[in-house]
Amino acid sequence: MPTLMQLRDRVRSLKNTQQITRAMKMVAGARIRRAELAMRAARPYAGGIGAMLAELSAAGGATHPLLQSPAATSTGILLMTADKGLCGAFNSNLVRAGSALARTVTKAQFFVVGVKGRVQVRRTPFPVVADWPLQSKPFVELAKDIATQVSGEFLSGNVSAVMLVSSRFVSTIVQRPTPMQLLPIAPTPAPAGAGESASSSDQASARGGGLKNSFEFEPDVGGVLAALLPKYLEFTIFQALLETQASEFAARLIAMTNATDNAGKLIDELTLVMNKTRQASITKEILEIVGGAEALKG
Amino acid sequence: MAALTHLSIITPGSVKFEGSAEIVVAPGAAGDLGALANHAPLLTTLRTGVVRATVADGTTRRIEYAVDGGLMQVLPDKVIILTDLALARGEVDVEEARRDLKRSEEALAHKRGGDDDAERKAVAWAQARLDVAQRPGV
Repeated sequence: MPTLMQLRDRVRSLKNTQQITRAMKMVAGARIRRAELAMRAARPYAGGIGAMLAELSAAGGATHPLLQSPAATSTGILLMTADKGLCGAFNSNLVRAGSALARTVTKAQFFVVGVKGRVQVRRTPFPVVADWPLQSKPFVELAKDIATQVSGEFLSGNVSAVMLVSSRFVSTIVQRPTPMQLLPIAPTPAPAGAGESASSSDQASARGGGLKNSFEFEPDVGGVLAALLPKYLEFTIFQALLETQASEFAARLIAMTNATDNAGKLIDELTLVMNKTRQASITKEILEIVGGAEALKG
Repeated sequence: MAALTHLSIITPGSVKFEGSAEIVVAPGAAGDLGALANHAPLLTTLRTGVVRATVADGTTRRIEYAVDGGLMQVLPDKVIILTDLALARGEVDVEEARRDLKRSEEALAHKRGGDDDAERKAVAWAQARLDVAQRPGV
């Protein structure tokens, strides 16, 4: 049985912890809103560039190094994680998804975004070619850096394909590590997630059929492709960064909500024990006094 | 009134402009080009420069954006411009643009060879920003 003093210290320290977790929960909650807005703001661009790529691949005839896979050598895995922990199994889940993928491909090499991911991947047998912290610079510039490095490795033939493993932000409650092929670029007919924005969402579907092949290209198909593909790669990475960050905040929000609740439960339990202990000692003292008084009387 | 086309100017971070326009003039790969409603489908790269449009959302007015390259898709009923950066008149930092222009022009004048392409692009981008910021009474 712990003494009253020990219990009091314990409760005090738990209250401090709870204050910290509650603050982190509130910060994550506020930042998740901003991250979601940023994600939504990127959707019109996604719709537009997806439609253009679909138009180009429908026109056919042009090739570009970023569209073709060179001789199979090794596979690059671009893994996106957070810089900080205290967000549940968020980082571990991503690293696990990444290394599970790495075991299925030939000669995997990692490109890692996020400090936590780098630390964890170092413990796996796979080499890390390059890594970036998630919060070093604005995402637009970070995406540009990553795209340059990754496409450089691809074009020089060091890797014959690049897979992206990042967190898909399904909702505040669900974030799913999701692999997708980054390079060679595989045009998709209509990009997912572009549907909600009223602005430029319908151009892909609205212009179906007869017009598909009547597009004119300036300067020509190859020229447009050469301008579009690097942008497309950059933007895909940019979007994945946004989504990974939103997922991180969501995971932290949940983890910290749980931690705050658990601390509250512990505090309640310990306070009860503490009160009982105090009451027990008071009762004991009263009994002693009464006993002593009785003895004196007798 | 002439038929209208729908113009969207979109950057990765936001939709800079969205609305009906009578005409859109953009710095296309093969020279400046204007797009009215019912233009033939076209996909072109953009040079760094200024996109001008006469928009008609209630009142007719002219808008200008400095764009740093990008892509433009023209369809009969809409024009979509995707670019990394698009700045309207009020968003240009004139001092910064002037400084950039001066520095890049000097760099071009002094060292031949080197990274001339990047400097030339920087000159064009600074020039485009100044064009948008300083054109009197649009």
